[in-house]
Amino acid sequence: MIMDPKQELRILLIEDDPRTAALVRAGLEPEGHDVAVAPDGRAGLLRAASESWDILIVDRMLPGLDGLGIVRTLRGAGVVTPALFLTALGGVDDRVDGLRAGGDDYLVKPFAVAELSARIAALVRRGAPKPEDTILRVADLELDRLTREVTRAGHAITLKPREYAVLEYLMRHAGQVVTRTMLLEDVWDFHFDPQTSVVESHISRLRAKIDRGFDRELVQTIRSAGYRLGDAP
Amino acid sequence: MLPKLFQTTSVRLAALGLGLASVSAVVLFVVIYYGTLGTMRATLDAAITNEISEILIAGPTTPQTTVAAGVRAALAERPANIFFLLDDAGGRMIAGNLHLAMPRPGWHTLAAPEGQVFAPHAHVLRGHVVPITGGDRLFVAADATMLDELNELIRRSFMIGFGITLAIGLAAGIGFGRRALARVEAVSAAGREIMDGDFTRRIPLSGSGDEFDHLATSINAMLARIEQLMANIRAVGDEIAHDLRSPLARLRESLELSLRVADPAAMRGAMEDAIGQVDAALGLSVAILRLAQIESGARRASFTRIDFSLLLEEIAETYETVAEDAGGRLTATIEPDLILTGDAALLNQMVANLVENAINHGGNGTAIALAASRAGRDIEVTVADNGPGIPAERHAMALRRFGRLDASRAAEGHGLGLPLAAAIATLHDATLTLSGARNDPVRPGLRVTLHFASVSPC
Repeated sequence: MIMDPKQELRILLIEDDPRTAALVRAGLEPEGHDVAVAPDGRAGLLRAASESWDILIVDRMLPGLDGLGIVRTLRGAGVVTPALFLTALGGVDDRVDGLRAGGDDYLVKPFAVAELSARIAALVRRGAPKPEDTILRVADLELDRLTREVTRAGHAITLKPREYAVLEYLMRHAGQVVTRTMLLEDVWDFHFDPQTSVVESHISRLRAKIDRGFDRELVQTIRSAGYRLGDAP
Repeated sequence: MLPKLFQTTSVRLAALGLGLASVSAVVLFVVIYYGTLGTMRATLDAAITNEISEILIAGPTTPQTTVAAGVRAALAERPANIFFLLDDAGGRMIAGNLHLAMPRPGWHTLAAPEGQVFAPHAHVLRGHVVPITGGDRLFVAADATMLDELNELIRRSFMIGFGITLAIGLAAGIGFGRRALARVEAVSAAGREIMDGDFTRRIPLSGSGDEFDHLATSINAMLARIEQLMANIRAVGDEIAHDLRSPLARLRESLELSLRVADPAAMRGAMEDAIGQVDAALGLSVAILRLAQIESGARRASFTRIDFSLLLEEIAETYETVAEDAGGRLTATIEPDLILTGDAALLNQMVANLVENAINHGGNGTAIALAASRAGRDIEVTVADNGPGIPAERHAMALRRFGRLDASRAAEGHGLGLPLAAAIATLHDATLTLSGARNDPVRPGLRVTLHFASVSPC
């Protein structure tokens, strides 16, 4: 089970390509989500503004109204529902444009359904630590954001800066799948595909430091999806 | 040809110059003319007036007999160049040494008819006719031949000078105009040949370093760039086709295989493999798009100030770990406070690319050194390894798109790592050069040097 079973979301997908819509449905509905599809911009805008949703998935290139415009309009009208852009445009500038228009994340087509699923979970995370929370806790693992101290079962653990950054990210998304791409983008600010095992190396280092010798493995690998920090299901 | 000639700026400028020269010539003429002739005539006129006043002692009312006596007395002194004529109301001569019809009252300049003279060597007379009581008229004149000759001389000199100025001006104007036109025509002709497909053509320079040469140099630089881009496009077309074929061909193999296997697990495996091939093809096309975007320079607009030292340190820390896992080692010597204006995402990609190349091509036990320091007002970054390196004669090939160094294209990656790094460097006004890293002939290693030009000091 990729998603935390408690998260069953009402998702509005504004997408004119029937194949993409079918893929998104086929990927998200088995996880218990309710996926509604609006096949064009105007219908999408109307439904987004008049009904309540947990998350909006908006294709940037729509006939008629463009995706950025829709989100901008919604934000202007005070709609704060998280919005994720789907697009064939993959330039870094395009991503920045999307975020500036009020989007919360940006996924380039073609995407793996597991990637979409993980990002949606991250956007709608319930029970996620608030920015003001200075101590993050998962089981007996504790991270203090002010002192940057990490302890497990009372034992202090020394982490290098990148290792710390990865752990903090995993803890902020505790219980959720975090994909390799999410880590590359959010922890390393790498917007390209590395030709070496950057993420894998750091995860294995992290495992060696915070899991080895303790009773439970908290850093889990979710096959074909990514990683998750939490108690094994 | 002719109408075009007169439209050139050169000719127009020459015409303007000519006009100004003419105006100054005319002004000069006027000044000289009235300066010399005017003065001389005034002197002459003064002398004549003097003579008249000596004869007409009582002005115009002086009696005829007194006037006649005065004239005879003046003549008795045998003046060389003064002439007198006193006529009565009927036109009969009373006294004088001049034989001609009395002109009307007032000042006159008289020229002797062709072949005749008023007196030996006197061709021109200047004089004043004064009416006196009784209808008589007194004409006193002086020999103004020299005046006239001077007049002619000045006029002729001016005409000749003016004519010469005009001729030189026109010749120069036409000459320069034609030369300028020829230079421009050369540029146009080169342009036409280039449009017809000859990208090696360049515009010849005259060597004088003038504005036309500057223009030609700029255009030649542009042409060189066009030639390079055309070559790139041709190469890319070939290579993209080839490089996209491999993953797509393997994809087809996987899919056909999955059609033939009955075992669902094996079919799953074949399909997952197929997805992997598609991802490889997609990775390639994304890299191509990224490269095109970078080379078009569109990203410059979003440049910001970046703490380059910090960026490099983070990359060093990240890849220390990765290198260790690959059985190697990465060391970093980074000077602090190196500031750059650029795109952080692209700089990350560029440096990461170079470090990853070193890790991937070095094999076990590779030592990689990342260094960054100030070099005057520039910044220099080097990534050096002790791996097999790249032979010098293949450096150019390595920087070309898809210029893979091993013959089999089955190797990992899309071969765009170095070209991408080079394109990002160029976008940031930096050069990327390859060289050997050590003296060892078997494993010379590779040093990639990035030289960022005149960065402002922090």
